Amino acid sequence: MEDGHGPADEVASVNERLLEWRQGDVAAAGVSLTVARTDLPLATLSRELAGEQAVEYFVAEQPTRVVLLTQTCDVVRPVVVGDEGGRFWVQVAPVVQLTESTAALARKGRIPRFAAIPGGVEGEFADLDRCTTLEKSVLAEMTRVDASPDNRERAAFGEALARNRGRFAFPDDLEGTLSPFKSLMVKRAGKNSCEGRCLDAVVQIRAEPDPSWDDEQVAVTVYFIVEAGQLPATDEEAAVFAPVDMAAVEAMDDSAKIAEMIEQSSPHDVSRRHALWSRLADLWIAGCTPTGSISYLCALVESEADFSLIRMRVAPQIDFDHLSPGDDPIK
Amino acid sequence: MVPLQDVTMSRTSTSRASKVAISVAWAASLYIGVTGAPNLPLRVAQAIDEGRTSFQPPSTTTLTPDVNELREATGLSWQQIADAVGVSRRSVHYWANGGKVSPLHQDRLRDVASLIAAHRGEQPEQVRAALLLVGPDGQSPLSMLTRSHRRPSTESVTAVDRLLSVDANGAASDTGTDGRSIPLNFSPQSD
Repeated sequence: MEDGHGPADEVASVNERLLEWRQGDVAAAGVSLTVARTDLPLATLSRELAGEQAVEYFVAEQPTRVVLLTQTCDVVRPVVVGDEGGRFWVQVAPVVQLTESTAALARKGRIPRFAAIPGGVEGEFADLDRCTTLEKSVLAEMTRVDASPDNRERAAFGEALARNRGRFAFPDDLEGTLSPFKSLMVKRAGKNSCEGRCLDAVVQIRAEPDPSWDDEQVAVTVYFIVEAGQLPATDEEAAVFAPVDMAAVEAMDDSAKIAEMIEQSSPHDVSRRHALWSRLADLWIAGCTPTGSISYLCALVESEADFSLIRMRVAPQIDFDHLSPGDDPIK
Repeated sequence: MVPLQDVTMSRTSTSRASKVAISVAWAASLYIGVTGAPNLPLRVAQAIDEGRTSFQPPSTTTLTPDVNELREATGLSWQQIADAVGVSRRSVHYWANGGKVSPLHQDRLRDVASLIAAHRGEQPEQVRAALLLVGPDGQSPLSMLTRSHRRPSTESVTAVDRLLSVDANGAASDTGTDGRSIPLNFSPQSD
């Protein structure tokens, strides 16, 4: 041993092995740690692990595949023994298999607890609620599973990590108001139906307050931001398009039928597609009754090609965490 | 309190085949720092008139300005109207084609309409020039309205916040401590 840290050549070996690791990589035989009170284990997992241990706190190892959460540049940064400012640690999260509807929402980034693993198997996600810190030497001993080289998936994984810690805390009144809508979304997400596919075409769902979340009475616009191809591009000056019977569209109340009509409509029929999408969004939130400080709720459909940075700043993303207290989203 | 005046404009839209009335209330000379500048948005003026401390829920009863007519009257581009209302140009196009406007956005359209109430009878290019006239504070009336609909949740001080700090004589009050200004219930100010 050198200075209590380990032989220099073994440290060099750790550094070399870590060079191949990237954020989002999966370790085949990893470990997830749980620290809990022996006399008061809360989660089912903790209760199972607590056993009859005679200590105040217990630390339980759970062998499992884990996902590397640490940013790649910090992972590959060499450990220098004695440099206490160096990066000795990485964070990992266990791989979990989600139920179908939860996975469909999580894939779209609507459940911040779970992050889609780059190149991962269908339904497998990182459970960001259960991160574990490891010294790099431990990671270096793990077997890295060949991962997807798709940088878009890796970027999405990084965004999911940021969103997990950075998501906006909406007022409780909004959570209560949107509860029926969220339940509806969970039921319909991931379904191979016209409406399921329309829901899948919604890139993000955001909520904007007027005037602000702190006010006693808040009018809320729920933005359904759809993929760029869903709403055809419009010209600055040519604002009048083929006429649409708006009253007929407004009279429709079958969301499945409207979704079917969206799929069947021409991508060039600007007004009709916008009208159908708007009606579908209205119906999605129709079951919500404004409560408490939320005095009014409306839906607006926007294209991801148009949604501005300033609107992103005023309208945080809605998430679908904590929907059904009794249901375990993990298989 | 500055008395509000009701101005009703009725026009027939051939494209819509519907008669649209614009009911505009406005308070004179309340704009901060710009001579001859336009008026407070309708909701703001109404809030002040009624002594309310915050905006009320969007109205569902007042008639809404027709977005096509707003554009004709102001000479503004679709994008400028969209920015002023806080939506995309695509949404304004949708409304221009008869799409349903939510009460919240109807209120915002009325805010734009109230800005032009003082310019009745003027040519669109004159109205446009007045709306885009940059004052000493670097803001035009339109940009102030645009900013008021673009408040990031972390930024609480805006043009409209300042506009709402208005004393009984219609003069701007930054402090609100003179006993005459109207305290309005916005987020805590940070600057």
